[in-house]
Amino acid sequence: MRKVVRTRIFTVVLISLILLALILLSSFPGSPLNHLTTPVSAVFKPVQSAFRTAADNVTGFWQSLTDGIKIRDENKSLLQENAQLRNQVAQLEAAGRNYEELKDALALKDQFDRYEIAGARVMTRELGTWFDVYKIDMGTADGLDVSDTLSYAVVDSQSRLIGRVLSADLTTAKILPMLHEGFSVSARVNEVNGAIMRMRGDIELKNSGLCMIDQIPASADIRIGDQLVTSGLGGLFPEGIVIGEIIEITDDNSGRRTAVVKPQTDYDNLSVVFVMKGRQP
Amino acid sequence: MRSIKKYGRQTIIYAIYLLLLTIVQFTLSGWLIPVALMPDLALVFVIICGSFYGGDEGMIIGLIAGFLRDMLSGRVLGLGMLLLMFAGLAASGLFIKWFRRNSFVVILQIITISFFYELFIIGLTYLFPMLPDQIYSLKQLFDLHLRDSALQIGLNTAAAIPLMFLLHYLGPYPRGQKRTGMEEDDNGDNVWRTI
Repeated sequence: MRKVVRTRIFTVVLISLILLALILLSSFPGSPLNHLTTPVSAVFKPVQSAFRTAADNVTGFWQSLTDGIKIRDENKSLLQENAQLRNQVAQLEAAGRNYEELKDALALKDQFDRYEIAGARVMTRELGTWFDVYKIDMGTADGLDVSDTLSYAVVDSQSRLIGRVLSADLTTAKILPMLHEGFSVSARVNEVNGAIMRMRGDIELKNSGLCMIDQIPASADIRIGDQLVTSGLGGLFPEGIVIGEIIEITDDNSGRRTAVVKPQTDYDNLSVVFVMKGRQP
Repeated sequence: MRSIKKYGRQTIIYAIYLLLLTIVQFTLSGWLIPVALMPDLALVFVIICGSFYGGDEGMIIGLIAGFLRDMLSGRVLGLGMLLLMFAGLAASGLFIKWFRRNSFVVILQIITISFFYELFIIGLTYLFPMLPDQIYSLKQLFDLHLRDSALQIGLNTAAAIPLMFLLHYLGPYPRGQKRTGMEEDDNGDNVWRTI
């Protein structure tokens, strides 16, 4: 009996030590240990996709039933709007041609010209603190190469910031969302000479879907309702990605200001995200 | 041949449970329960397995469920395995000295282990902040813990009831059959008896 207990204690201690080593080694960005999940990801990915697709189909079918009447009414107004838009498109096509000519002439670059934007499907959602990253169906096989100096910005279909790639195995990658307390980004108020400040996730605000700005320069002119975009400083995120809107500014007695930001992306309904592959020019 | 059949049944049933619970927890949760908090199904499952079938099984199921958790939503690899392994082990012995094993004890174990699980996570957040200049006060973290953990424990307890019934009627061992090789503890009562 005593021998059985001793063997069990030895096993538990040994496994614990191995796991502690695993935790330490896998916490380094770009750690090869993250590839340990590749075989299981390869099995789980199609199963999860199938379940997700089935769930989406059921939701879609139900919504199509309930939205039928609403769609009929919308269709009428959309037909009218469509006619107006066709007219506008024709005008914009002409304007677009002019823009391309000018762009070539002045050697201008599109904002995200150097980035390849690749779509990925969100496979899992978070589960509380320390288990709070999203998993997407894109990995090193798709060109994601995460290291301690290299990561990728992740945006939604409207090019609004969601987070960054934390780690990747062969077929999947983990996304650190902007709400997460380990996330920080250099942000700028979206106006000419807008103030630059640091925005980060906050452990108290994240359940409300909000972020925090905690390094506001004393001279910075910020107001509630200001829109924030990425500043491009730091080299990870390209300049100009929409982050969110300032909804609250607090001034403590020492003159230190903090602000609360509501991200513009809708985290509750994320199903597809876009990874900006490439490097800052 | 008999042992292949026996372990085959266990393996298949555990694999089905783990796969389904993982899918529900991580893939369909937003679709099924559109709220921020949901029961920690893997933790509940591991505690029930540890309590029903003993420490060895609780530990192994905890390691597998933890690996899946680390793989799907963990910041690092190994933390989920460590936590769920200890949850499975704890469930095999917690309160057994004072109570006979029954559903009440399992509920009590789920409440206690869930509480300490949340507390441990708070401790980790305090000790290892992800941003180097980010310093939390313990009071701030405990306030957060108290605010969220009551609801989380309630949800875990609610999720335990259907899971206990499922494992009782559709578990890895046929109903009423005592597990061979299951170690007897000091009370000689290391067998699931009533629900």
